This record gives sequence, structure tokens and C-alpha cells, in this order.
Amino acid sequence: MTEIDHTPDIAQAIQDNTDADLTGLSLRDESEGVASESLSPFRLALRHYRRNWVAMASLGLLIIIVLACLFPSIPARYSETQRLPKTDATFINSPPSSKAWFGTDDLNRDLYSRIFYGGRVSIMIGISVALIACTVGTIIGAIAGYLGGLLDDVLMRITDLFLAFPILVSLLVLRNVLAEAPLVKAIMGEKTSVRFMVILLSAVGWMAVARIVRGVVLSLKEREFIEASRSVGAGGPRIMFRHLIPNALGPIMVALSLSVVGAILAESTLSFFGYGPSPGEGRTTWGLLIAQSKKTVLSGYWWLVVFPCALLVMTIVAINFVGDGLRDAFDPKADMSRA
Amino acid sequence: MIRFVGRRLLWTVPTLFIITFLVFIAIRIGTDPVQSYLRLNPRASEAKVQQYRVANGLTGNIVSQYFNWLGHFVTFDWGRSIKGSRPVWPELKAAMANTLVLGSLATIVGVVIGLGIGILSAMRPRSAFDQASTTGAFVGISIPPYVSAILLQLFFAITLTRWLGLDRPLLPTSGVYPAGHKGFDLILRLKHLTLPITVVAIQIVAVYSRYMRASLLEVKNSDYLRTARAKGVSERRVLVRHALRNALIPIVTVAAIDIGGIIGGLIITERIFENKGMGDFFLTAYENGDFPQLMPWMVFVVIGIIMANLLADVLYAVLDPRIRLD
Repeated sequence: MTEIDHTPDIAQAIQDNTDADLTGLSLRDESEGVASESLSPFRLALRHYRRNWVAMASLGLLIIIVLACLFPSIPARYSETQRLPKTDATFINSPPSSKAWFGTDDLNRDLYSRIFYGGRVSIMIGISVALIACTVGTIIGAIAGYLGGLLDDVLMRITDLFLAFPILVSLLVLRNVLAEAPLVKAIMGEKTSVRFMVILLSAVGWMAVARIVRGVVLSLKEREFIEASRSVGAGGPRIMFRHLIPNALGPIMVALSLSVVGAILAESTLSFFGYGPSPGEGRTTWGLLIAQSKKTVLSGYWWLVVFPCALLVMTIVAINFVGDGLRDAFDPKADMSRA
Repeated sequence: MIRFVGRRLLWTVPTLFIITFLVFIAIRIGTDPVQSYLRLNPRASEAKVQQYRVANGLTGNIVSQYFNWLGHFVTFDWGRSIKGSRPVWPELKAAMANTLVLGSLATIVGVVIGLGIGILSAMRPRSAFDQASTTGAFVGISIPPYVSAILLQLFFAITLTRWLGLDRPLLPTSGVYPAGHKGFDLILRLKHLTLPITVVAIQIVAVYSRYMRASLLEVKNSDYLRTARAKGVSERRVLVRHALRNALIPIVTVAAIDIGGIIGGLIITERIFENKGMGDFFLTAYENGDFPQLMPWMVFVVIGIIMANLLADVLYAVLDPRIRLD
């Protein structure tokens, strides 16, 4: 009898105790200014990121550049192909003036407007390649890391091979292979199309992502929570998509930012050597703008060189700072080693 | 150590075999050697084409073509380029010499400056110098080599010449020597090398200063440094003998992996500054679909990458006695 009487009391006591502990814990956390209400790593990372003013400023700049380039008709003063009317002094390659802020090119088109139109193609290539490469790379990296064995070995040797070669060489060789190989020809389209460029860059870009995700998965898969989920009967795909990939989200987002940089740089490098996409008559990309400026650099038309380069570098620096901020935000330990 | 190096060298043979096979297939799919031949020599007779086919072993199926090529390659029968029908080896040799000069000078300059900046910023973290160099390194990484090359060309060929009122640029912006120059001239050569070296070195400085800084900071907080100081070792000796030596270990491995990046930077730089090296050789061969030139180039690049990796492993063991190479 007595024992039965006591049971609810004990239960109540335990209940009270836990409540007290929990409130005490959360109070203490709040007073120390550490994350109190949310334990989600994603929100923690967000909070970390917001405190990093360099990363925040870069993100702001990046958003402005990306929006301006995705909707180029808003910042642009003339259309992409419009030739400015002749003036008395010069009729082509005119230096910066109130009519054309960044000067004009050899067909007297406004460079300022063309930079945004060119940016649209470059940034769209960058974003689509990064999304494709990260999706493919994440899935392949997770499978290779989780299953291991022969598949893992083969995949890692292939990525080793590609990553050891200079990226420009891999891209150029693969470009010809994809253009000539009989089966893929139908999906690839013309060698100079934007679609071809996106597929080509994705075909190389997934490897770096796959290696990063594989590394994270390798370190996670022996952890207790994975074992726990396996012990209650979760299958491979569920563990991979519900547990492993979400936990690798931080590195994946950093890889995403690196992929955007890599794709924009690769596009402009290939364009620079004349193997880039040509988006159509009179239309341009950042790589093409810089490539054309190469021909006139020794004639002293500095504006054709300086402005496209400045915008390209500004964009890359901003993305790199955002990526660095993400890395710090998702990995507070890395922040300490930076101190 | 010698056994390790010997075994690794033995391993490079099958590795080279597999990689060259894959590269061979890739290049053969990408560029039809007979078509490139016909494009560059449109009036070649049927007999001439057949002769070219036989000379380059382009008979039978693709696997036997590979072995034909391999046979020609190892017996040093490297054939002639498709364009102009020039022998491959002398040009490749000259290109390699130019690239080795540019590449090694740029690497030395870049690594020395980069490590120096990294050490200085790690000694005083969060100082003004540290923040400036970290930001500088970030911007440096973000500048693609062709952008810095073209900006340097603009600055030296046009801007500086106008400012100073010179009648010719302070530094030459293209070529290995001025047109028509013959023989060797150290000063002239260095002048032509200055800008290409700067372009390649900017990348190396940016990367290595960051590596060095991170690596040294990690070592700085280690217990063995405290022990060394407690024993009364001088601060200078602590830095040189204990901290630097350990901080360099991870950097050596990174260095070997980076060689692909350095070669990539060299290709771009050489093309812009018209420095006739391996990069220029590759791009020209690629443009022409010049199969007899492309394959030997690939083999040398692969050998270079494999050797760099081997060197890194050996250096790793030299710097860190805990690592045993067996």
C-alpha cells in the first residue's frame, strides 16, 4: 500500500526536478549570452554569421550585384546592342563620360550597360553550375562515404585524377570529349551554347563537392546517433538523407559558394582563350568582355580592361568572404584557430 | 627511405600506364587526328594521309592504337606535329626549359614571400599587419591570373610609360626576348620574366601566407613549445627549430597538391605574356588538334604531378621523424 502511495510522489518529484533543472539551464544560458532558446545548428550558424560584419557587408554587396545582373534592364542605361550616336570627338572606344559612364567599346556600345548584361550570363552559369554540382556531388559523396568499398575507391581515384590535373587542361580535354562523344551529343547541344558550358563545368565541379561530403560522412557514420538510427531499423537511404546530409549542410554550403566562384572563373577563363559560350549576336559575358579588352589593352583603352575586371573581382571577393563567413559560422572551432 | 622511394617509383609505371591510356582515349574521342590533319593540310594526297596514319600508329582499333602510340613513345619515335610537320621533341624541350625557369623562379619568389608574410602575421595575430595581409591574401586568391596579367600589362605598357614620359615601357610586356634577339642575356631575360613571375607569384603568395599563418597559429599553442621555453630555449630558437619546423609539415603536403594549380596559372600567364613555354605549347596544340604534340605534353605533366607527390611524401618524412615510410 505504502509503496503504491509513494509512486506518484516520486514521479512528481522527478518531474519537478527536471523542470527546475531545465529552467535553471536555460536561465543560465541566457545570462551568459549563449544560444538559449534554439539548439538548431542552423540558427546558431545564422547568429554567428550575423555578427561577422565583413561577411554581412559582402553578402549585401553580392546581393546588389546579383540582382543588378539578373535584372540588367533596371541599372542599364542603354540596351545591350545599342550603339551610341557619334559625337564630334570620338565615335568608337570613347573614354568614360557623362553619356557613357564606363566608356564605350569598338562598336560604340555603352560598357556600363553591357557589364550588367554580361553579368547575367556569367552569374546564371555560376549559380546553375553550383546547384547542379552540389546536388550531384553531395549524393555521390554521401553514397561513396557511406558504402565505402570498391565504389568509393573508384570514385576517389577518378576525382584524384581530375583534381591533380590543371583545371584548365581537364576542362579543355573534356570539352572536346563531350562535344564528340556519340551518346551525350544530343543533350549537350552546340559547343558554344550556354547549356554546354553549364554541363561541362558541372561535370568537373561535382568532384570537389563529393570529396568534401565524403569526408564529412566518413567522420559522421561511426557516431552514436547514426548507430542508434540503424539499430531502430533505418535503412541506408533514410540514414543518408535524414541524418548524414543534413549534418553535412555547413560544409555543403561552403562548397556551394566555392562552386559558384569556380564556375564563374572557369567560364571567364575559357572565354578568355576563346573556348567559352557565345550567348548570341552582340551579347556578351564577363569573360568575353575581358577577352575582348585583351586585344585593345596595348592601345591604351584602359576602361575596357579596368571596369569588367573590377566587377568580376569584386564579385569573386564578395562570394569568397561570404563562403569564409559561412565556414566560421558552421564551424566555431575554426574561428578559434583564426584568433 | 630508399626502399620507399624505389617502391613508389616502381608504382609510377603502372600509374602512368593507366593515366596515359585514359588520356589517350579522351584525346582520341575529342579530336580526330586524321580530321585535324586534313583541316591543317587540306591538299594532302591520299598517300600522304596514309603515311601520316602509319607514322602515328593510327591503325586498328583504339586499344591497339594506344599500344602503337606507346611503342613509338618509348622508342623515342615521337613523330612530327600536324601543323608544319615539325619534329615534336625539340620544341617540347625548349618549351619545358622556359616553363621550368618561369615556374621555379615564381614558386621560389612566391613561397618565400608567402611564408614570410604568414610567419609575421602569425606572430602578431589581429595586429594591423595581420589584418592587412589576411585581407590582401583574400583579394589575391580572388584575382584570376589573366586579370592580374592584363592589368599589369596595362599598367606597365601604357599608364606608367605615360606618367613617367618614357619612350618605351619600363618592363617588357611580352615575349622571352625582344624580337630578333639572339643568344643569352641575363638582364634582358629577367626583365622579360618580371611580370610573368609577378602574376604567378601573386597566387602562390596569397595561398601560402594563409596556410603558413593557420599552421603556425596551431603550433604556437602546443605544449612542446611551452616545454621548450621552460627549458630556457631562446625565443628565436623556439621559433626556428620548434615552431617553424612543425608548422611546415602540413604545408609540404599542400604544396604537392597545388602543383596542378601552379601549372594552370603558368598556362594562362605564358599565353598572355607570349612566353613560349609548356602552357603556350599546350594551347597551340589544342587549337590545332595536334595529336602528336598533345600526348607527349600530357605524359610530361603527369610525370611532373606524380614526382611532386612523391617529393612531398619524402619531405614529409624528413620534416617529421614520427612518420615512417614503409
